[in-house]
Formats: sequence, C-alpha cells, structure tokens
Amino acid sequence: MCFKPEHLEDDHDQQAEHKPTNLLLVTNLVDELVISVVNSRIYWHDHPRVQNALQDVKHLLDSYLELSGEASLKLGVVDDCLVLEGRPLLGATLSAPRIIEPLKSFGASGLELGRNVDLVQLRCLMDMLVAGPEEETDCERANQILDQAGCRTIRFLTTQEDFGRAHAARISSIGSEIAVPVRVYQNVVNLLQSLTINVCRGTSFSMDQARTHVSSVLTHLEENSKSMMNVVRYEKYDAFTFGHSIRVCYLAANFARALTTNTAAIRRVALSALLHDVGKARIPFELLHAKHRLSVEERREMEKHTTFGAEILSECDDPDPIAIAAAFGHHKTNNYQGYPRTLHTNKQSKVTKIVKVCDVYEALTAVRPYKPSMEPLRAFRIMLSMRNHFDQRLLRRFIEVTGVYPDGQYVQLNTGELARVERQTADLVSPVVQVLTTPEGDELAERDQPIFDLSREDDVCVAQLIASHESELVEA
Amino acid sequence: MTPNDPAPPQTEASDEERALVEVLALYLKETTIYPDANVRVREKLAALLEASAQVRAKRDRAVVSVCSEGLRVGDSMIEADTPMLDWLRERLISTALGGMEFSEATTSEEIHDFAEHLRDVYPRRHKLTTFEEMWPLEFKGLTLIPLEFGARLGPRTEDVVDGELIDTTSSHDRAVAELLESSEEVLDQVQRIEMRLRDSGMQESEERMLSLLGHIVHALPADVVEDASQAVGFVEGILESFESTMNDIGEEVLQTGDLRLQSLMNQLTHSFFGSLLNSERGKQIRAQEARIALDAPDVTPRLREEDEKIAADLPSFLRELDELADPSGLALTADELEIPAERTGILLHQLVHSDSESVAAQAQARLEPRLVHLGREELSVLTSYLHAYLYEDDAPAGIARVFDLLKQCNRLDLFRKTGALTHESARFHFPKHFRLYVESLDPSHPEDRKEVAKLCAELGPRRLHEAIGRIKDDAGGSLSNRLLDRLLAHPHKTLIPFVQIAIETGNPDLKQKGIDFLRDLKLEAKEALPLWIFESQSQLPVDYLTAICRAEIDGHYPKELSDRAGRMIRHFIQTGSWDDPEAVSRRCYAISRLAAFPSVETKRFLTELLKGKGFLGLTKAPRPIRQAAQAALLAMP
Repeated sequence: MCFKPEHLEDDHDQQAEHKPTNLLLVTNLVDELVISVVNSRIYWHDHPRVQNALQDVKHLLDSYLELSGEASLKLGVVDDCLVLEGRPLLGATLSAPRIIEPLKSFGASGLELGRNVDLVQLRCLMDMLVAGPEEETDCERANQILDQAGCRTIRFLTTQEDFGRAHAARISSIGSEIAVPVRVYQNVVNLLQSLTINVCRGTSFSMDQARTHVSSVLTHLEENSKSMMNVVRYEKYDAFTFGHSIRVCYLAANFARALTTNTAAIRRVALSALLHDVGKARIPFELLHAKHRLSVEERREMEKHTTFGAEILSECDDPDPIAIAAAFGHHKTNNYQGYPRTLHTNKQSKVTKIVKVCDVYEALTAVRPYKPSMEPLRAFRIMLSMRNHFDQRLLRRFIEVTGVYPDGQYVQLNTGELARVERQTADLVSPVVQVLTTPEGDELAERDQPIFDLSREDDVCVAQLIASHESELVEA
Repeated sequence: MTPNDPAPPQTEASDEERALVEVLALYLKETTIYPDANVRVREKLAALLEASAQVRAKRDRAVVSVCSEGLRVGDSMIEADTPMLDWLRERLISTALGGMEFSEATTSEEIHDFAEHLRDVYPRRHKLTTFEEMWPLEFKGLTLIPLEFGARLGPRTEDVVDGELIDTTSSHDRAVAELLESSEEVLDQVQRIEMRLRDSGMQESEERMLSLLGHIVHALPADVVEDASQAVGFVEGILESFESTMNDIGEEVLQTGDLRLQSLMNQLTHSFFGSLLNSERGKQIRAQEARIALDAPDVTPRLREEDEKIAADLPSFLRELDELADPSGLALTADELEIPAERTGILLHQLVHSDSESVAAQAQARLEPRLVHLGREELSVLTSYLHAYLYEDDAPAGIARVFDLLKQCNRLDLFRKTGALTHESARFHFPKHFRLYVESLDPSHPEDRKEVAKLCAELGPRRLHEAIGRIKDDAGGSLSNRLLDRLLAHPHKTLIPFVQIAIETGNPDLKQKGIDFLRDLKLEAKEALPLWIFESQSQLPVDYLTAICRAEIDGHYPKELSDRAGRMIRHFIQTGSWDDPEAVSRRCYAISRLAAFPSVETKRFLTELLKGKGFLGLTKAPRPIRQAAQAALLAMP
C-alpha cells in the first residue's frame, strides 16, 4: 500500500514499530479476561477452563510488559471504550462489556496490572469483576480489598488519577459515528454472553431480549449503515465466536433489506442470523477454540452445534421457527449434503439460505487466529465454485448487494487517492466512494471530501481494496 | 480408505450415464418395497435394461462402480448427491460390491436375481465378510465386481475396468515392497512360507518371495500404502493368515503352481481386508471416510485444497457470476416465512435422533398437533421417516418413536396415506409389516374392513398361522387389542388364527368378538353347533373355542371335538328350567341337533328324555321336549 495516512506519522511514530504487536497482545489479553469472567460465571474457580484463561492472561501480560518495557499495563475506560496509552482499543472494546461494566460500577477509570501478577491475584480480580461492588464499595475500597487479598500489583485506577481526562480530546475524536454502533455491538455481545452462560447453566433465555437487541441493531443499521458495517467488519480475533454471529447478523439484515421492505421479516432474518450458532454454547470450549485441525471425532462433535442450536431455540418460551430452521440447517447444502444428516430432504427456507450465504461469506472474509482476512472478490469466487451449496439466484443477489468493494471499506483509486465506499451501484466493481485524500496522500478536510459515483466515471476506478486496520479505522 | 481408487481420469457424466445409475438405484429401492410383479418394479427393470443399452451404445461397456466420491459409469464420475444415489452406494459397499457390468447378455431374470440376493444379503452383511461369501452367484450376462481398496476392481488385472491396468511396479509400490523386505518379521514369515513351498515340491526362488510381497503390496488399501510403517503390520497379518491357511489346505494345493498360489494369495488378501472392512474398526474407518467425503466441500474456516487455487481475479469472477441465474425479481415474501415442512422435518429429526429424552418429548408434543393437518410437503418429509422405519435395516433406534407418535395420535393411517405402506408391500414384506398395515386401517370404514379380509385371503390361513409367532414376537409377545379389533372386524375364514388369539387373551370383549366372528362365518361343522346353542360366552369355554379355531385352520375336526360338542349340547339340555317357554324352545332346537352326534350316550340321553324322565331331580320333561327327542332318535343313523 503506497498510501500512509498522515496521522500514523505523528508523535506515535516512534512506537509504531512494535505497536501492532502490543495491541495484539493487549487485545488478546482482554479477550482472555472476558473468557475468564464468562467462565467464572459458569464454572468453579479451579475449573481448568477458568484456570487456563487466567494462565493465558498472565502469559500475555508478561509478554506485553517485556515487549513494551513498561512497569505495568494500564487499561483505561473512557466512554465505554477500553483505552491503551491514550488510544481506544476498538476490537477489545467490542467484546469486553463484561469488564467495562464492573469497572464503571466500581467508579474506576481503568485497571492496572503490574509485574509478577500470579494466578491467585488474578482469581481475586475475577471474583470482584464477576460479583461487582457491594454497597458503598467505591474504587478506593475495592483497591483495599485487593490489597488485603494480597493483590499488590493489581489495582483499579481511580478517577483522581485522571486517566481519562488526559486523553479526553483524543477519545472524543471517535465521535458518535463509531461510538453508537460500538455500544450497540457491545450490547449484542453482552446478550450473547448471557445466552451462553444460560445455556451452559441449563437455563433457558429470553427470546424477547434477543429481539430487542436485534431491533436496535436494525435501527442503527437503518440510520447509518456505513458506520455499522465499519464496526461489523472490524477485524479482530473473537474469543467466543460472538463476533462472527453478530457480523452474520448484520450481513443478513443488510441482505434482507434488499429483498423486502417488511420490517418484521427483516427482524426475523436478523434474529435467525444472530442466533444461528447458538448451539456452539454446548460445544466444549477447548474444541470451539482448538487451534489445531480438528480430528474426525472432534469435527463430529463440533457439527452437533446445529442440532444443539435447534434444541436450544426450541426450548425458548416463544421460539421462532425461522431461527430454529436456520440454526439447524445452515450447514446443509442446497443438494441436501452437509450436516446434520437427516432422513428427510426438503427445500430449505429462504431465510436459512440467506443465513447460510452470509455465514460462509463471513467465515471466509473474517480474521481467524490461523488465517488472515480474505478479500471479498476471492471469497465470492470460492462461493461461486461451491455450486451445490447455495441457491444460485440468492448468491448472485447477495454478491450484488454486498459488492466487491463493500460499503465502508477503504479503497485506493487508480488515481492514487484513498477513498471510502459509500454505497453500491448497479455496476458491481464501481461503487459510490468518498475521496479522503489527495493522490499524494494528503488528508482532505471533511468538507473537501468529494463523492464520486465510479459507475459514471470513465477514467476513475478502484485499484485495490485496503484492509482495515485498527489504528487506521479508529483515527479515520 | 477409499473404495476402488485411485480414480481413473474423470469425465463429466452424460445424461445416459447418470440415468443408468439413477434407475439402478430406483429399481433396487423399489424391489425392497414392492413385489416383483408390481408395475413399479417392472417398469424400473425395463428402464434399467434400456438405460444400460443406451450407455453401451455410446461407450461399448456399461459398468457401474463405486468410488470415494460417489459412483462411476466407466470413467465418468457421478456424485452421490441425492439420497437415492447415496443409498445405492451404501448398499453396494456394505455388501462388498465394487460395482457391476451390464452386458448385452444381461437378462431381466439376472437383474431380478441380483436384486433379490442383495435384499437377502444386506441384512446379513455383518455376519458375512468377503465378496465370495456374499455373492456366491454367477450370472452369464451380469458381471459383479468385488469391492477393493486401492483402484482394483477385480482380483485379476484383466477385470480392471476400461483397460486401466495397475502398474504393479510403481515407484511407490516398490518403495513399500522395499520397506517390507527390511522388516525382519516379514522376511521371516516369507522364508517360512518359502520353506513350506519348497517342501511341497515348488522351487524356491527369490522371484517367488518378491512375487508374494508384490502381490500383497498390490492389494493393499490405498491409505495403508500411504503409511508405509502401517503397511508392515498389515502385511504381517496377511502372511500370518497365509501360513495358517497353508496348514489347512494341505500339500496338494500348494503344488499346483503359480496360478493357484496367486489365487490363494488374492483370496486371503481379500478376505483379510473383507473382514477388516466389516470389523468395528473397518466400519469406523468407513464412517470417517464417508464423513470426510461429505464434509470436504463444507464450509470451514480453513480453505479446501481447490480453493487455494482460486485467486481474486476480477474478469474470471464476472464471467462466473454471469453464469448464475438472473436474480431480478428475487424477494423475501411473507409466505416464505412460513416453513411447515422444514419445521416438521426438524421436529422429526429431533424426535428420532436426540439423545435427550426431554428434547424428544418436546418434539413429540410439537408434532402431535401438526399431524392433524399435514400439507403435501410435510407428508413428503414424514414419508422419509416412515420409509426408514419400514425399510431401512440400519435406521437409528429412535425411529421407533415416530411409530409411537403416530400410534399415540391415532394416526397410523398415515403409513398408508403417505404411500409408505401399501397392500402390496404389506403382502411382500409379510409378516414384518402385516401388523402395522392392519393397525393403519380404520375398522369403522367398510373398505378398510374388506381390505383386511382381502389381504388375509391372499396370504392364506396357513401362512398366517405360521407367521403368528413372529407377528406376536414383533409386537412384544402379544397382539394388541387394537390389532385384533381390526382383524376381527370383517369375518373371513383366513383370519381364524387371530380369532384364536383374541379368545386366548382372556379379554371378555375380544372373546365375544371372536365368538361373533365365528358365528358370522356360519361354520357348517356340527362341532360348531354350541356356538349357536349357547347364548352366553361364559358357557363357551376358551379351550372349546380355540379347538374350533384349530380345527378350522387344519381343515379337520377331530373326533374328540365332536364328542365334546355333543356333551356340551346334552349338558345344555339338561340344565335350566323347564318352565320357561323360550328355554324349552331352545332346548328343542338343541335336541334336534343332537342327531348329528350319534353315540351310545346320545341315544341313551334321548331315550331318557323320550320316557319323560326329568334330570337332576327336576320335573318331567314337557311334551315338546319329548317330541323333539323322539324326532332326534328317529333321525339318528
């Protein structure tokens, strides 16, 4: 990529060399903290799943401190956002409402983890995050409790430390354009985490709550699809695969909007997509997050998530048959192959087919620990090669709606400018774009950012798609 | 482990080739449901012969074989992408069949015999291990190809389809052979065999040893060859079997030369892998293979091998996209949010497959109201489960819950309404489906009542009688009242075996129905006279009634039964009041029938009546009684 935004060359330039590594470590650390919190709500302290997650937290913390040379890791919380060294961590923020909320309830402005943190101390922290503050427990009192428990190197950051104010100006630059969808996203993550906890505990969950969240997703998608899709496409690892479900939900809702104007129908499609992998809550954690290629037996176990999903959704008070069908059938191909293997064959509902297309597209284009993101064009070609998998008309329509250069993505034009895709046109490869820089890479002021319909331009076209990157995205 | 691989170069299957495989699957499936004479079976058989002729007209040979991805006709691959083709593939593999060749000389009788044997051997596939055991048949025009692993379609190289000869000296095979030779255990075994052969008069040579190993390597399954270290263990097993067989077959055979030795080795290798194929481990491997093959195109985060080659090439993408059907007008309508068939399918799946009793119970509860009004598509979904229940030997155990559900909802009629169970299939699969078929009928419907009688008439009383034990076993030891109720609804002689069972149940209602049934039959035998003489069922002992039934089934009334009937009638005449005119009238009738039971006792009995003697201290018999006795005495021979 020849373009390098100016803001990456500012006062943080010196850190740029190792920053991606640090960011990755911290994001993963936050993920592991979330896993620890969620698992602590399901299992006992000494359960291997809790222990392993805490072990990973410690390992990642040690690595971060060693690499950064810092004495401690200070994670701030400003406006529901996790902040590191003055920069908001969008990826970590999205999946971390279960850390952010307790910190806020203690009145803390962040969390500091120092050197030599051990598992006992981390477990003590988990207990406090899971239980939340007792009456009249403020940040000071919480730190005293930590002290009494021997946690000398873990403490809640107090507001007096002014962690947030020092960076307020910078944080505010995130703006509502990102902040609102982030909160919507966080709420949905929170919902899915609760749902997982309920399923693991064997209690049913409220479908109404899911419907409410889906409504808010759709409202924001309606209001500002570009920023929503920006957040959705945010490339980060996803400890519980919630991100995958949410992204499939957005994709499906977006696709459904192109197929119908019936709001109730779109909502049901979005709900089906959001809950299509709910059965994974019953899949052993180790299997779900296995970093090796699954053995046949493991795959067989993993495949049960479809039938588990249908069972979980059937057990709700007010089950939606469409959602049950999508959870059950999203791995069945159009020619009745795939799983679960059934004795019967029948045409799948259109909603299941929609979820299936979005699921595959998201799986291909998402970042995974073992693979980078794939650009949409290649993902589409792979999907096109899977002849028997999809309803052909539906696939074509999905490609048309999503676009080779999806909304919100950054592209470089053949003229050198950096631009952002605003919306699709009838010409698949020529979207409407907003130009953000000059051909030389100079950032344009917002009022000077022109919008072009590339389908009407003879000489201007997209030269390449630019993978979004956390710092670029946030600062853009 | 992949059957009959590696694949020859593949070409796209023509319509004729696909039709051949499809009609073969369809024909074989139909034969499991309908009798040979059924028009559906006959039509498919004719279509099969026609399809094989069409393929031969285009490519000289019509060879259908199985491969890892599906089926082949010659070198054309046909994915097993429909349940029917999947079924065919599974049937062939399970019965150690690699495929078959239809020639000009193939006759419909041969195909019929083949299908019949397939039906016969499939349920016994767990007991039989080798192709030879499973397929002892020989046809003139139909060539059966044994299932092999590693691209061999027959034990002899000349059997290889389409002239695809196996290169036994491939570098890989040589490498494996070298590895085997490096194993001391294998060499020891080979040397021992060589010694035995030499002692038997055959000449020892290095060539012989290589030939033995070469043979084994040649026949090793593809995945064993892939893992050379595993191959040593396999070969040791084969050589061990070979040695043991040598001990069994004696010296004479060993002296018969190369060809026999080769044949013996082939046989052993085949049986070795045959038993492996059917062992628990073999089944696991096959299940894994099937699953891997099934999952191969599935969506996983990792890319498929072929996907690695797909690049983000815009022109190619636009071209490929253009090949898809035009999506204009595509919409999501309100109707499409109603998915009764899909919902029913999921519920049935949960009912049958769920390990959780609560999930199954919930699915059952949700299915019950749906069974009241099933749409066409829902019926079609249900039919798949009913078919599995009726005809699939390896259907999951939970399939019985579907039957329980229908029974509980009083919807056994759906077995017939979906076409899963017909008059012909009930007859063809007698006695297996007899009980269910009868229970699926509505006794209140005259046509259904006739249907029971018709079916039983076709089966015949003896066949029914012989099958009763099995029918009872299938029903858990006793026939349900529901079944007997239906069977006894329409009187027909062939149903007498079931009357006997109904009477033996001890259920007063069923006993009465049995008596009514026998009365309605208007049995002409004099031994049956008590049926009409005694009004109350308590006066008709169970053993008498069952003896009547047995006599009707046997077509022969024993003398003891005749004597007993006479005694019963005499006893009837003796007991009760003389004062009731109605009773007197019935006794007169009974006396008049006594003439049919001539014996000293009867004569003495009638004489005493005639003399006007009362019985058991009762008053003198009335005049009508005496007159009847006189008439009966006169009528007696």
